[in-house]
Amino acid sequence: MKIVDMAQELHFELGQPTDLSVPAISYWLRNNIGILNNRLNKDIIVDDNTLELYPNLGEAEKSIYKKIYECYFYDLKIKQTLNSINNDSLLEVTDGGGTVRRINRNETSKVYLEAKKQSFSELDMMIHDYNINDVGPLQVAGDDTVVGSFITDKYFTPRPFNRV
Amino acid sequence: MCMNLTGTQGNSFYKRLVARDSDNNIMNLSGFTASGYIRASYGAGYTNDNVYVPSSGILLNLNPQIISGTNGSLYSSGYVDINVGRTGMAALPCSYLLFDVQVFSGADYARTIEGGYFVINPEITY
Repeated sequence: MKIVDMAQELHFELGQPTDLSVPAISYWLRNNIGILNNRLNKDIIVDDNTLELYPNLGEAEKSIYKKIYECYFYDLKIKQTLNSINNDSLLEVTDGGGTVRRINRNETSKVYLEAKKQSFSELDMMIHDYNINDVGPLQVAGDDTVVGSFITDKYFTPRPFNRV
Repeated sequence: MCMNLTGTQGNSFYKRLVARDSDNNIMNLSGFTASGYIRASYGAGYTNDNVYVPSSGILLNLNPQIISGTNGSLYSSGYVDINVGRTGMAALPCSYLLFDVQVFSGADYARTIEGGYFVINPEITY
């Protein structure tokens, strides 16, 4: 799957936010593959010529990479909200019997924080499941079928044991 | 000097830039040459061993043209045109890429007249 297709899926699944575009998501996906490599112990690179991922992501890896982006998305929202708190601390204005109350950005950031925690928790579960499904023997070659020898005593009859 | 450009894969692209000096005055570009590239990153021209390879990492040569000329109404206008055909644009990946355009004069004068992100939107009709 091409990076742009993954970006388009993400843009749709995040609710098509107007302040986010497919090229911006593609840019992030292209530059943060190291996070996926670290989490899944993979060695996926961005090909210098095509600027696409090599080797291509499977469906399982793709779903995890998208979840990583989702965590980043909420993290970005938290940062944006915190920046706006710095620039605009006004919460309520009362004058002449009229009151204008604005969105409490502190509360907004808490909602985003909860969403991020939820995404992070889902990400951990997905990685856990991935590792269970993807696990395989580290080595199949060897000499494990050699007949073993055991110390015997008067209660047990010595008997060869084949581990296969 | 920080300008983001937006284009679409497979669509031709045209943009007229105006070269200004450090005092924001329009530059007379008579005798100048112009150059401009698109790369994926600032370090795209370097190998892993940090060796600069001038021709590597260039996604597209913008081939900017100085329009000022030596006489007529455009004289000393500072105009530099970028005109990229659909074939060149089709080769670019959908992403935030980086570009800049420089003008050169003599042996040792160069000035970046514009630079920033080049946002490439995807196409469906190839």
